[in-house]
Amino acid sequence: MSYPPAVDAPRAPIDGFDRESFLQGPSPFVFTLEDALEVDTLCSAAGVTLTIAGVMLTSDFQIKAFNFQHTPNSNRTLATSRFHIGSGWLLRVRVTASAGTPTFSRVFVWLRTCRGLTSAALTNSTITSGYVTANTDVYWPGNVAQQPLDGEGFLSSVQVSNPAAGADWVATVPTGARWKLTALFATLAAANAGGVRSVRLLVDDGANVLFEVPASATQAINTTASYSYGQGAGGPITADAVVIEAPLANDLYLLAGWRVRTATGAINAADQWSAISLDVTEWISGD
Amino acid sequence: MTLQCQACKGTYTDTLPDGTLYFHVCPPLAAWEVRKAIAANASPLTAAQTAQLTALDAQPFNAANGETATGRGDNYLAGLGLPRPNARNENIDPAKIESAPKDAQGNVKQTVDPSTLMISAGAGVAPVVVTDGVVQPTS
Repeated sequence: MSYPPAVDAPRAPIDGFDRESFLQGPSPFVFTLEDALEVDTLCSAAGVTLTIAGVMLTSDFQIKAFNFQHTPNSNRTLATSRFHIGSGWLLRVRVTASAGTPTFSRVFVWLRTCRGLTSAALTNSTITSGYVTANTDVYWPGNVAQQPLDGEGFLSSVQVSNPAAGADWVATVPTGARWKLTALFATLAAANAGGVRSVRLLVDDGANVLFEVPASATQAINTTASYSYGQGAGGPITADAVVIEAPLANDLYLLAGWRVRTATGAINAADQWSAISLDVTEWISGD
Repeated sequence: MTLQCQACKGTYTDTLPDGTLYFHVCPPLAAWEVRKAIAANASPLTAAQTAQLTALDAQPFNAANGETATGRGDNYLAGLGLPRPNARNENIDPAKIESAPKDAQGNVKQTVDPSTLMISAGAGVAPVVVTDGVVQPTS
């Protein structure tokens, strides 16, 4: 049996040391001049700039810092930047929000290694990943890599379009998002015509109804009533013809494209829905 | 910015108070709109849906309970969620992201019109001002 010839490990003086040292590769992430650091982000917040700062031990055994910036998209679509950081070993790196004030679950970052700088680059490892906020960073080494659906999510108050008179309202989970619907509120001004209004809340996948719950009371003509749906909500504490509440399913997770909407029986062309707000927990879906 | 959809006439702001972009989607046709289309010989219903509506409209109703002759049929039509003609859906179409012009890093070029990445631009939008529920175009 033959073996490949032995290869000397690199030996050289290192800045700050007074003797030649033997290096066994201080990091699993070794960069040649063909390699680059790739930053991929999915983001739902506007005005965010990320700073990626780190330190390399170069192939000539110099400690060199690097620092560059990346601007995520604000529409939950992928944004990618690739940067040459020289040849050597990556010793440490962190990602921080240097502009904007993103909260948790709004800016997801992957730090990766790749070969090449263009869209044809071959991505060949993930260093770390996670959510960056205005006050928390994603870093390596030591960070526990996350996936986009990890964590407590972002609490969002979504104001839905006011429909034209005579129309119901609809809210759709945006592309790239995952929602958990916790509560909602809306107001219906019923015109002085037609029959009593009977409101149903529907959740569908864009085509098929998945969940339907009628309001706990009908609404008389020529009245304005508020509707509250919520996880854990029971019947009304006191009977009130214009404050109507109903329960939602617990853990009502919704995928992108799924809809929350009303179907108002006997809606009149002059009826008006307004002040429609959803209480949702949102994650970047990452799919 | 407050906008009015020219397909459904709904109004909305394109950015939520927390800075999140809002993506408008037109609501389905209301029951009275479907009946108006039927009366104009432009029914959006399938044959089976038409038969179901006819059967529901023929059922007896109790006016003393606030029911109307078309109540059951209207509930049925509201639940169908029939799409509005020329509806707008501002949500991003992943297939359009795939085919959009890209820069060297593979990102969609900044010069690309965002409306070309929507699922459907529909009839478009117009900037408006809403004061006490009255919608007026911006000057």
